[in-house]
Amino acid sequence: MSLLQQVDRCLRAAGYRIQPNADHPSTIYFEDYSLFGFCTVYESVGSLLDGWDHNQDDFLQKNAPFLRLAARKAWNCYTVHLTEARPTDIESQALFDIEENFASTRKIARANLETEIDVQRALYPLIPVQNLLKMQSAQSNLDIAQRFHDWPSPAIKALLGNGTPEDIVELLLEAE
Amino acid sequence: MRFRTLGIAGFRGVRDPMDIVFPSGFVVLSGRNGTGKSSICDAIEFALTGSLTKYSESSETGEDVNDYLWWRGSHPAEQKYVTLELVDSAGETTIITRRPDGLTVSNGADVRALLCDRSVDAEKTLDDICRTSIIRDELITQLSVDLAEPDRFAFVRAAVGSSSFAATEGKLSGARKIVDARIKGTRLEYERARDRVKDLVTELSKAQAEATKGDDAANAEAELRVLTGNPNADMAGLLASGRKLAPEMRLRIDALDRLVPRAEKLLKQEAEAAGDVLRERQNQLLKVVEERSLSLASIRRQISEAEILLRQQQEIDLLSLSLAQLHEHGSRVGLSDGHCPLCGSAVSEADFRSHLAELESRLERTAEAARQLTRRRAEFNDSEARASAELSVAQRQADQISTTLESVNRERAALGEEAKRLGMADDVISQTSVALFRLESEASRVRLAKIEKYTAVLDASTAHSRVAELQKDLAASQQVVVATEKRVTKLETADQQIKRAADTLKRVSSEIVDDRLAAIRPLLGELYVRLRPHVDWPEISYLIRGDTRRFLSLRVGGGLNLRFMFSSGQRRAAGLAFLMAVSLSRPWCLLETLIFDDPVQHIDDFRALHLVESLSALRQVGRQIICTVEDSALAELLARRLRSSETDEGALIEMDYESGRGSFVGKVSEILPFSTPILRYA
Repeated sequence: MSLLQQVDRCLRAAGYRIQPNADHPSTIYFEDYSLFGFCTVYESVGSLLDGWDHNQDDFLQKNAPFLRLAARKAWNCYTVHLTEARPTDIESQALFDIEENFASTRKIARANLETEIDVQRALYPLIPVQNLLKMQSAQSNLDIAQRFHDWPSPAIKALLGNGTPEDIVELLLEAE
Repeated sequence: MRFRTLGIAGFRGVRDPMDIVFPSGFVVLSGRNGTGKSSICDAIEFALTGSLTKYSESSETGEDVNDYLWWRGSHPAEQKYVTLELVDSAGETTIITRRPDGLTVSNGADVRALLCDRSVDAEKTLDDICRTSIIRDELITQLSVDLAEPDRFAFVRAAVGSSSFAATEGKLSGARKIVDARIKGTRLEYERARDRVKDLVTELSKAQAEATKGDDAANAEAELRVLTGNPNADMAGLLASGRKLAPEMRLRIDALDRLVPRAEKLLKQEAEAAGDVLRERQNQLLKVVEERSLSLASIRRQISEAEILLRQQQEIDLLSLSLAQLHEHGSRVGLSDGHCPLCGSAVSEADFRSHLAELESRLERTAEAARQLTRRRAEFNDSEARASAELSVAQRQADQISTTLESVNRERAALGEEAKRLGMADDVISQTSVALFRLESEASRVRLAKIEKYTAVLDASTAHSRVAELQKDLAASQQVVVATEKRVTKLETADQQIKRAADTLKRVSSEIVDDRLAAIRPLLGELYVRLRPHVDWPEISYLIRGDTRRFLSLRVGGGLNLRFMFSSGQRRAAGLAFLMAVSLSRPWCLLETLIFDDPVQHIDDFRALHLVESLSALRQVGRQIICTVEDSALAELLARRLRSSETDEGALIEMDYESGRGSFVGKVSEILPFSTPILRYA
């Protein structure tokens, strides 16, 4: 799966509508009820550093009429610039500088994105808390019933349900 | 459960009534220092708990926060109250009102039960809710990166809660009590059944011994019926009759055996009496008695006469005594001038001496007479004694013969009576009857032997039935023992099952807590990445160690303590990640609201933006966010990014302050959902 596909999937999972850019296959647009923007995947860190501001401006220009109408939402514009390429230290700093640049849009500029987790982490500013679900599933895995190996299932049901201690004793004694 | 409205009057920095509506999405409260942003957080905590934990320490003068809960400004507050309205997912509301004089809750609701899921952790309180739901500026690092590792572990451990299976544990405990009681009862039953078996075995052993003693029951029965004279009695009656008759027979034999020697002795005595030896001797003795009686009477007369003489002599003796005294006096004194010293008459010496001699002679005679009388009386007494003795001997011998004769007569009568009692035809004792007694005794012995024999035979026959009965009883009792033992075993198995289940429950409980603690790790990692406290340390390690005393370390870069590595702003960002992770890891907490009281102090714009985005991510998982900030631009950013939606709208509230009046709500902006899509090309 390409980096762009991974971004597509991650954002869709977070509830965003995704639009491809017919003119630029390495770019997709995304929007939900609160945020919008685009994501472009670059071949290299260099092309990212060179092209991000042009792409941003192009996007803003094209959508200017709608941005003017959108009032508050227009401020929630995210431009995401990603590459799988590994950055040098200087490039890393340059990417960081892009993110610290608050002009016009909120910018996410990341490199060295190899895995789905890397993509997810890059997109954290756009997506809901992820690991909440993992904790819930950890809890649900702890099924007491499965741990009472030597208990007959009716007795377990009574224990974990509405059975009284008397019911439980009877069910344990009834079992062969 | 979320917050819906808050009403404050006369509380902390708010004098006049102030109402705040919390849309279900978020509220951003902005304002300068002292405009009452924190008072709103305080009011929420106070409404829920009745106190403010952030001011737990007392002052030197003994004052504490309770002295400053209510408005202390120069212009008194007309009203003093805090009301907090909660709403659940179904739209049901609960209003908590606290005034200086106490607490009221609408519908008498249990607020703790509304906010703490007791089925997950029964111990959690509203204090726990507030401690982990209200993230205050001054406590961000204090409760996170600055905490000592054991305290940090304790904080997280308390926040995630103990896995409570209180209801299940209660049921197991109840079931164990029931089983224990039943085991005791069943063991007693088992012991009783065993005792019964032991008794039956003993009884059976005896019965079997009895059963081997005899046989031929039919013949024995017929014989016994004849012997006992019970032709129609049932077996039990017949046996009872035989058992009753045997001792009676023994008594009869004993009586007959005693009767024979007595009768023989009687006949011998009677044979002796028949020769009149006794009677002749009796007559002789009676004659002797009569003679001795006459002789004794004569002696007694003589004694009487002698006693009369003796009494007379005694009177004479008194006179003689006087005379003797005179004689002695006269002899000693002699004549006094020719006069008798006794009578004073004139007398010559010769006459005087003659008189004295005569007197002495007279005294001698009197004494001799007295001696003779005494001797005679003694002789009479001896004669009387001898006569009495002889009479007594003769009398005794005569009486003895009478007694013997009477005794023989009495014995005859008694033996006749005894013979009659024993049913002997001849009650007159004779040699013939003695022979009959002997025959009867022998016949009775033979009959007794038969009765005993046939009774034993029949007893042996019933012992067979008894053996069968006992064997049946024994088998049944052994079945009871086996069944009871089985029940005990089953109960003990159930007891073990319950015990193992309780152990498992404890283990699972501990594992759940450990899992919850472990589950925080990725969440903390995510939130740390989101908040990006430090560019060079993009990851944080969350490590729990220790067995008895447990530690929770937060480290970066393979073991560096970020407390000493990070700037205050970076520590706050890391602390926020930690506290948010903890807040999101409370399975027992039913409150979906998180409150951030000025979380961005000392945090630069870039990290503030990350915080805003992290809060937005919390909004995306359904949390209601209440956040106070000082900076209005940041407040505006929050209002835009916290994702107002159709169902969860937001509000931006500007707080203000006026001297004397205190804090008040300045401007309220509803943050409605963004209705217009921007990207319209496809």
